[in-house]
Amino acid sequence: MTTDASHPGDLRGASARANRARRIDGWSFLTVAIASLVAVPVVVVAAHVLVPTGEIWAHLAETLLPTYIANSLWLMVGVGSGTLVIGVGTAWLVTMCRFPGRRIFEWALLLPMAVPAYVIAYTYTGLLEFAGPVQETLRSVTGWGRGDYWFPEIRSLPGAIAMLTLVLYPYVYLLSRAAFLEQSVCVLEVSRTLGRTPFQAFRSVALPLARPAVATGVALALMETLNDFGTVEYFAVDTFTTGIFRTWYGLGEPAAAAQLAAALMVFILVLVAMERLSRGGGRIHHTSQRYRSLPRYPLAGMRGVIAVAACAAPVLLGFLLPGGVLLAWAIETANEMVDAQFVSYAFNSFVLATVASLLAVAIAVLIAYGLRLRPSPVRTAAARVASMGYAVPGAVIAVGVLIPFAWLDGVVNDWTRATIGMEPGLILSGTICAVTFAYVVRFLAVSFNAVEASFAKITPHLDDAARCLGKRPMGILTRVHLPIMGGSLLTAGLLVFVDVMKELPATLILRPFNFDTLAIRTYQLASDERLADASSAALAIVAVGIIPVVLLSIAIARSRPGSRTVSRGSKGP
Amino acid sequence: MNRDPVLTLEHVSHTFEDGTKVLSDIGFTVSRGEIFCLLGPSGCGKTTTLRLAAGLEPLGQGRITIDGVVVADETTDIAPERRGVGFVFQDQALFPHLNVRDNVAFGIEHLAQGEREARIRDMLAQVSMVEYADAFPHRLSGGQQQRIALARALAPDPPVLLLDEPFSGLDARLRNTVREDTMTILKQRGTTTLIVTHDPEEAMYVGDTIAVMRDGGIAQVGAPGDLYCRPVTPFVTLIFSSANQVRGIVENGHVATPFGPIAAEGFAHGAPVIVLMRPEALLIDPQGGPPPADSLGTAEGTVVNVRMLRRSVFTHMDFGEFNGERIHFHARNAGHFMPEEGRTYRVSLDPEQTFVFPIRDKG
Repeated sequence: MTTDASHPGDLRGASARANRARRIDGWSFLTVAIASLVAVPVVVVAAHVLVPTGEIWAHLAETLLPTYIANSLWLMVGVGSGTLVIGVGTAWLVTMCRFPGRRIFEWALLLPMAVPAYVIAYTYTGLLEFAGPVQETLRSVTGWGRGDYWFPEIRSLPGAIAMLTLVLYPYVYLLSRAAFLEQSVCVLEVSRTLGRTPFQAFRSVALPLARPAVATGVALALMETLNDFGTVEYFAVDTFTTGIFRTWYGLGEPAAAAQLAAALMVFILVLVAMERLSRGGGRIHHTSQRYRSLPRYPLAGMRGVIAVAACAAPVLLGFLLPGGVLLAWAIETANEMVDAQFVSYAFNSFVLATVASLLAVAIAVLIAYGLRLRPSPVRTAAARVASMGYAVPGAVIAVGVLIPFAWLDGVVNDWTRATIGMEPGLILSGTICAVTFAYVVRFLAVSFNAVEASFAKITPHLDDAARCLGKRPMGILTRVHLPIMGGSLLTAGLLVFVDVMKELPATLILRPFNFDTLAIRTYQLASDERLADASSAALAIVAVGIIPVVLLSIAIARSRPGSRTVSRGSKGP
Repeated sequence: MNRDPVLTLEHVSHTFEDGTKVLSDIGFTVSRGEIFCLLGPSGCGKTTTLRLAAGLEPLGQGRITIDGVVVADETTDIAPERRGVGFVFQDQALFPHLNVRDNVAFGIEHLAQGEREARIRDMLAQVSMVEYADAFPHRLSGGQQQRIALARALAPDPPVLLLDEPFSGLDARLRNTVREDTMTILKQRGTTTLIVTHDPEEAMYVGDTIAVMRDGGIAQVGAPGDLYCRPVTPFVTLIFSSANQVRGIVENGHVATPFGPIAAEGFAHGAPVIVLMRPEALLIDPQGGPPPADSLGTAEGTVVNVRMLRRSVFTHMDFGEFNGERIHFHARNAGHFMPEEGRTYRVSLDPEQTFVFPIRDKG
């Protein structure tokens, strides 16, 4: 294929590189197009900063905004320190110490990840509220009546912090553990020979070395905190996500909702910047490449008991107790609740999650392969933009999707009314198009990072060899890369699938009318104070949520010191 | 071997996208059936040359011709999949998800099934791997993987085969066998081959012609013997073995060395030169008899240390002060005569292995 031999004048002086760049620029076009599409919601939200909303915004800014900001900040402080202490502490115990049950805790500490924050919130409310079993038992034992005693109110800001901390600490645990494992034992041993006690070695060597990873873990936990809608809504802790929802539906003010969303994005941006900063400044190069199995510090007697208790508490409170309660409720209510309706909710969830994960994986493959074919600043930037959605809260994306989709539907309907005298209705905003698009925007980073990591494991020489043997880029993708990556693609899809199953705010705002999923059903029943009735749907979500935990556990079991743990945490922006 | 050109590079220069200059104006021709070897240290641009020939890297400037067809120049850039060159990579790059048969079949899918099966059988037979047709790459040893990589690259019957350090991943014991087998196959088939290596012994072993590369240019091209016996620069001399060095100024066509003045023909009076003497050039005389007739000169040296290195004896010798510097030379003599440590011997200098070069900024 001699490029443009017919009119060589066009290319006089052009280098082969320029020719080639032109030839495969379809990929650049594609990746940029996808990235632009994915960026639409964020751009729409950001653009609304400039839309005048007059009264409404002034009212919001005066009355509610300070509350939103204060609550969000308190949540971040509480969840940040909670996940930091639990995550780093347990990671240090299971990687650096030896005590009974350590091997079980290694993976069991991940289990709370399977529980969405709103599910754990509903469960603890059911347990701890006035009419719940705990207080009833207390009253029947002591004979007290209403108002005779003080009991902590679970539906409060501290309650929300506790709930979010219990399910989000695994992010910090996972990344700190990986960081501790990566550290060369030699470095730690040198510090011991230089006179440090094990604990001092941890504080002065291991912890500083792990700092970037810990910071990333906390940042991920905080992004999830800002994303949370179900917990804070149920606990009546007003934050941006609840504010966006209420301004949209309660006040019917899309523009003001978008401005709240933009304000929330500022929090996210600060978080991303802080995470980058802590990583950049603390870039650590491991100077020693020698790894051996860690000489774990034995904890005997009382210290062993404390270590076991410290590791057992998060697992118990974050997974076993709520899981058990859900199971008990589900068994109790299964007869009425698990019916044809329930099956249809499950089916809806399944369809949405399947479609979204297929799309997310396919798009991730296209972008990552484009980057592999010819890494260029344009494609790199496109990939970055396309995978930033994970940092953006679902409520923000929902607002950013609905505004342009509704506008587009309006345009289409106006046009068809004028030309063929018919209105197709809400073909975009009223169908699963909108909600699927929102999922892809939000979870593309999950599949992209998994796919990109999988591509990275394939030596570029395989591409070269296949090309020399007569295959074109598309043929290489289908004949070489995809078959090799098979398992990783499945994993990438599963991660997106589970995230979609759990997603609440975007689903709530964008789902078609009367199209309910398991997450929506759980939310609705809980809102009606039918906590026990919500349990079967909630339990189904938790059960699916265990899949990535199992995948991670397998990865952890395989990981050896020196080999990087395959971590979900790597999906950060 | 006729001189029918198969692969020609003319005035090829190349700069990476990050601006690093890798090749400046190189050119050479590989003739039909010839095994042409690019030899040079890492980073000299030899692998890039290979990738340019295959089309895996878009050409900067110059022209590349394969079998009379221009595959790359200022306006032409034939994609690698249409150049049809064979390429064997350092890491073999076998497709891990395909068994041996499918790996070999990968490049000949356009053939009719019967012909394809026959070709696969034939290729596997040539590399003695018939019984491994159903095995997957991870089950094969390094040497077996290398053979399959060769069979895969040769199956489409490419006009030219490119080999990028194909033996460097193998352990030393295996390397010689695999190298010998590979060369036998290539010679039997008469395959035109361009091979890259950083190992001078390998280059001399496999190459009909060697091009020594340095810093993106070609320092010297020639038959292995030419390069070893008539190097044109210190760099080419030193790539094949270490050498004892002494610097001096040419006076009336001669330069002073510890072995006495030696001829420096073609140098102006007062030109600074460097004299390189391979260790093999220092002949230690066990008897103290008269020096060989063609000797360039003799010197008395004291043995500091002696080591037997398989087929030769390596001797560290002290030749006292010369030009205000302590002269510590190495001698490497065939056979098993071990000079005594501490004793002084007469050493004569062999002209075959002694070279005089002008001193430039870049030696």
